[in-house]
Formats: sequence, C-alpha cells, structure tokens
Amino acid sequence: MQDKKHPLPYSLTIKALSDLGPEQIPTELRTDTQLIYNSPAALDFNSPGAQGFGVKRAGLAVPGSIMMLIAPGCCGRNTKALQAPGGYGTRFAYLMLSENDIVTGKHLKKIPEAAEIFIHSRPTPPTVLMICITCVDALLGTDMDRICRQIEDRTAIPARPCYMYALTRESRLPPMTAVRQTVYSLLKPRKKRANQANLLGYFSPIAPDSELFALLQKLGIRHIGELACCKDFSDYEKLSAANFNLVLNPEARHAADWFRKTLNIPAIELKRLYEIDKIARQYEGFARIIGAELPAIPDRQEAETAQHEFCTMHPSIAIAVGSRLNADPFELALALVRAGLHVKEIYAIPLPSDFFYIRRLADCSPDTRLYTNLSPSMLNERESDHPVDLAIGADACYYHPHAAHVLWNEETQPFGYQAVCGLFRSMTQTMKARHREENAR
Amino acid sequence: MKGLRLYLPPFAPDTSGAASVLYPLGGMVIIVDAGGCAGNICGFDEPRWQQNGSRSAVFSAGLRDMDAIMGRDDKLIEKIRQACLMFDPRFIALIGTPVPAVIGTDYHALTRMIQNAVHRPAIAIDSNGTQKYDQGGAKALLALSRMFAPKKERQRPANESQNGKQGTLGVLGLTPLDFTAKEAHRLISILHRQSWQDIRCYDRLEDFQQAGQFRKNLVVSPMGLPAARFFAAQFDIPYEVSIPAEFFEESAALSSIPSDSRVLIVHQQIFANSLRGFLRQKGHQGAICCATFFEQADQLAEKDDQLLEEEDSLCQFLQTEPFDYLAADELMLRALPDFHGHFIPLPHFAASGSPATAKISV
Repeated sequence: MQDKKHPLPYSLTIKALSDLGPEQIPTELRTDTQLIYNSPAALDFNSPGAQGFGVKRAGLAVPGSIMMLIAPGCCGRNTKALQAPGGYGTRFAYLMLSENDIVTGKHLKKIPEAAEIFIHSRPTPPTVLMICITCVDALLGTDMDRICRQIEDRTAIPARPCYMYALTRESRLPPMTAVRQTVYSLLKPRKKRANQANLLGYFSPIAPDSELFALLQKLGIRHIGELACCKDFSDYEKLSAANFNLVLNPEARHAADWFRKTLNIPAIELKRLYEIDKIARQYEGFARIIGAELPAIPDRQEAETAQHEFCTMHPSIAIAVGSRLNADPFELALALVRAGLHVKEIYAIPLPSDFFYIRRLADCSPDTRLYTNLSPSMLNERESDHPVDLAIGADACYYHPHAAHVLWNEETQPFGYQAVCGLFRSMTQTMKARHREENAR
Repeated sequence: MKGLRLYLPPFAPDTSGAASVLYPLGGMVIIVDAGGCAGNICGFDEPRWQQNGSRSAVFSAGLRDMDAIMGRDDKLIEKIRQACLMFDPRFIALIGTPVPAVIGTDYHALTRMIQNAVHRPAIAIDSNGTQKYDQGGAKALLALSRMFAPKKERQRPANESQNGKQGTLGVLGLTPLDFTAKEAHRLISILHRQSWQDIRCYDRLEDFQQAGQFRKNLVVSPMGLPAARFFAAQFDIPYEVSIPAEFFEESAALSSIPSDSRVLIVHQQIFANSLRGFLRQKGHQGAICCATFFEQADQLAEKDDQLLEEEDSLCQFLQTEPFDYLAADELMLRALPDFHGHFIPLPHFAASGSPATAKISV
C-alpha cells in the first residue's frame, strides 16, 4: 500500500480546531463520515469487547451472574479471550445463530429452552442470566424484554437483556451507557443509610489508595458501595441503601437517572481531573453541596511534589497524549501544559463537549496537533515524521514505538490527587528507565 | 440443542477467514459492519496485526443504524472514494457481516458501483458471520482467482524444469488461522527441499496474476480447494491435497503413539488426513479416525471419518467409539469432561484462538 496525495496522516492544530468550533468539526475527525481504521490503537473503540470492558464483560459485573450471547459466531469469537485462566470461565454460553435465524428471527423461540439448559448446567443457580444480543436483533427489532420474561417464567431466575448494538453507538443510548444501567436493574428499594454513598461509572474498582475514600470518611460517609467490590449478591443488594450516588464517569449518568427515578437516590457528579487546582475546587464544591466543611487533604501535597519533580527533571521533552487511557485526553493535555510541559500531539476524537478544554488548550498550546486514531490516513503514519520523547496512553504508544511509554490504562481506576501522583510517578520512572537504557547503549 | 455452546466458544467465522486471505495483498479491505466484526478480526483472529506490526488497510465501514435501515450504499461508496484519495490500493474488497446479510445488500451492484467510482477492481465476499472460517477463506481465494488470474490459457514457462528443479508450486490455504508463522516457514522449507524452485503462497497479488503458469498447486487447508479446482479447470493445473509427512516428523508426542492404538484426530480435514497418513507411513496399525468441525470434502474422507456439527457431537462420538488417543486442540477437552484416554495437544488457532505453544507444535 502506497500513500498517494497525503504523505502525512490527517491532523490539525488545536488552535485551528478551536477556531472552527464545535459546529464545524472537520469531517476527517468525525466517525460517521469516513471508513474507520482498525489498527490495534483503535481496537477498543471499534470493539469494546475486544479490549477493556465491553458489554459482554460489563454485563457480568453483577455477582453470580452468567451470560448467554445470542448472535452469529462472529460476534462471540473474541469472548474466548475473556475465558482465559483467571477470566470469566464458564460464565458464558452461546446460542449461535444460523443464516436462517438472522433472516427469519426463528432463533427467538429457542432462547428460553437454551437458557434453561445453560442455567441447569451450572453447579449453583446464577443470580441473574444476562441475555446479550447484537446488531442482528437490533435490525430485527427483537423485543428482548418479553423474551427475558419468558425465561423468568420458565426458570424462576431473573433475566436481563444486554444490548451489544454496535449500530447504535452514536445514538441517544449507546450500548455502554445502557449496560451501565442494566447492571443495577436488579436492585430493589430498601431502607436508606444516611452514611452510605455509591460510586458509579466503572466496572473495575477505584484505586483503593485514592484520597476519595478518606475524604468521604471524613465527611461522614462510612459505607461506600462499588459494584466492582461487591463480593456476593448480598453486597450488591445493599447498593440500593445509598443516600446518594457519586457519578465518576459521564457514561453512568443514565444509570444515575434510573437510581433517582426508581430508588429515589440522587446523584452528584465528580470528574476525573489531572489539574491539581481543579481537583481541589471540585472537592470544595462537593463539600458545599453536601453541606459539610472540606477537611484537609494531604494527598494534594504529594501530587504537587510528584508533578514538580517530573517537570523539573524533564522540562522540555515532547509528549504525545492518547485517548486509550484513564483520563480525558483534552483535560490531561491541558493539565500537562499548565504544569509547564510540552504536549506535542493528542490522539482523540473531539466531541462538541470537549471544546471546553480545547479552547483553553488553544490559548496556552496552540501548536499542539490533534490526530484521530480512526482516520484511514493513519495508515500513512510514520513515527519518524513526528517523534516524541514520551507517549502516554495505549494508542499514543502504538504510534510511537521508540518513545518512552506510559500506558496508563490499567483496570484499577485512578482518581483525584492519587491519579495525578500515580501518573507523574509513572512518567518519572519511565523516563529514568529510558535514560538508563540509553546510557547502557 | 442446535447452535448451543456451553463449553466451546465460537470458532473463527467466515469473516475472519476472508480477512486472513486478503490481509497481505495490498488491497483496501472493508468489513461492512458497525465495528464489532472488524474488532473481532483485527483484535483476535488476525495475529499479524499484533505480532509483526505490519499494517494493512483493513477498515470498518462504520455502519450506523440509519445506514442499515435506509440502505445507504451511496454513503459507503463515498467513504471508499475518500479513502482512495489517500492511498493507492490495488483493489477494493468488501467482507460481508450479519448486518448486510439481514438487510439483503446487493454485493454485485455494490462492487460495480465501487469500480465505477474509484476505477479499481472490486470484489465482495458474501460472508455473513454465521459460517466458519474456511468457507469465508474459500470464497476470498476464489473471488481473487476469478478477478486476477489471467483469462487466457496456461503457457508453461520455458525454464520450468531446468537444473533439476520442478518449477513453481502454489500453496493454497496457508493462513495464520491454520498455521503459525513458524509452521508456515517450516512447510515452505520442506517444499524447497523437495526441489520446488519457487513457492508461491498466494499472499501477494502477483501470485494470483501469475497462477496460470504454476506447475502445481498444493492445498493445505480446505479453504484452498475451490480455488485449486478453479485453476485446474481454467489452466489445467493439477493439485495435490496434503501436508508433507516431513512436516509432522519433529513431534515427539506423535511418535509416542503405540502402533496398535485407536486414534482420533480432530482438526481441519487436510491437516488431520495428512497426520493420519504420516502415522500410517510410520507403521501405525490401529484405527485412525479423522473428525472435523469445519468443511469435510466427501472425496477426501474415509468411511468412518466424522463431521462434527454441534458442541456435543464430539462427546457423543467418543461415547460410542472409544479411542485410546485423542489428538486435538486443548480447547476440546472443555467439552469432554469424561474423556480418560491419552491426549495429544494439536493446536488450531481457528478453533481455540490460542497461539500454538512449543509443547504442542508439530
């Protein structure tokens, strides 16, 4: 494959993007106007089930749950990766659709019986059977709620639909937003505990050393519910006793809305930020909302020290920030620039809501270039055309194999000052290791 | 129950088989999907993405619900036209998925419109995600052969048999879904030692364009059979269906099988048949049965060979026909909790999706 008219992949400066504004995002940066490049860098966008948490893995976040995937073989192929040792073992079953099924919908009649066989094959009864369906049933217009009721009538086990509809990814209710609500749908109203809050937004735990836990304790929140930390179904049921929810990921807003309407549990949103002042202000606002005085948080000092140490040692290195990481790429880039670092490039898909950070970034680092992982022109990308010293995020690392790498995409979710501290420490250690390697050479 | 899998995850689908054939050819491969199928292929069934870092123009069409409902083929063509402004692909290949299968996409019309729009050859593989990899791979090899092989009759090159060398051998079906890179390399080395001057694995477009001049085709996976038959009919090129016995000689595990034991081999048909041939060549006297979950050509099967349709078919077969040895991908053991015979791991990426490990690799 030879590049033709565009020897370089599509990119533009943050200043140029900011000037265009959210109404005129270039077609090259939109996902609905071009073919989507399918490199490993973009894998978790194209198929969230292939890396990280997709609908399949997310649906199994409920303790004791099992899942049956109703789909052609091609949709379930990569589920094998989840069944590796230490993974989800036999919690998956498949009802593989034939060519006849996908045209006629004949498979729908088989689902209750298949579900019964699957449930009976388990050594202990599951707490819930998740029925995962894909684009085929989206197009057939399958009423999976009705089929789940048929399963419940037949097996006396709760059944819930998980919609893995890639076709609807940019709709009002994309699959990952919907499944964040589905996993809480077994909760029933119970007596509230004034000193309990739930953390919503992630399927893996918040880093236990995050100051968020200590802060909540100091504010009188003695019980903190997290889906990923529920050891059994009894733990899970206690989530409905929360006095309020903390929404840590915007994709959980739909779930929070369900909590409010169904269980009368309100929500407060906290964002994962990497700019230290903004974290402090967010905590102040949070304390105000719950009518408490913000206690001292010593972790801020630690974060400032980690940041200062890195910025002093590496004031002029070129950094690439990706979007396959535990951060909002634009917010992180802005935080790094405001800390005095040089963010040379960002790999991300800008949405209108990102312009809050894009405009600020354009003011202080107008020449930072934005690339999109999904553009077919990324096939023409060559590291030597735009080298950096440090790449942060799995996608940035993919495009810069010779730079120092900080993946920062671990499953345990960093949050608050702990995230800042952890990131800068990782960056420092990585650069130290890089220098040792260079000296050894 | 038909289609129910409690123990074995789905095998590599037709979409992956087609992509594995098309990946190295320098075309623009478009998986006509919403993203998930492309993710399954590139993130799981295409180790070349991950292992050697070679990039290929494999794109997802990025279909959305309204594209499917409204049948917006013109939008897809425009996306392809835009992408062709960035590259110079040698051809365009569409790989079908369940979405176009449900909405009844007319691939014939679509490829003609693409050819008119971008002035490049276009093919479409009408896979739908419900078939297995060998069917998709077979369709891709056949479509490429029909599109790119010369239309006129075969002309033997003058130097074909000079210097004691046998000329050019085409190898059909050599993809990562059946052979690891190491195994493929070993197979090619063996064929070179058999005096073949030039080995062509149909992993370059030129191989299809020059296929009319090959002396023989060797089919190493059932996905290569339809293309081999096409070349035989079109250019009178003979084909052989086997993997050389030498390929299996390094395996200590296979050598340890007692000659009077009853052996069941579960793999793709040509691999299993070739292994059976190797064991018999080594003097094995006991019954050897070949079974497969994939394509089984009647003319290549012996009387007792088994086509396994469902997950429990293997278990049921082993209950009725006891075997001393089972040679299969380790994944199969999940479905065989009651098998107490000797097991010889025989990795098959298309089945388990697991890369072969040293202890098993034959």
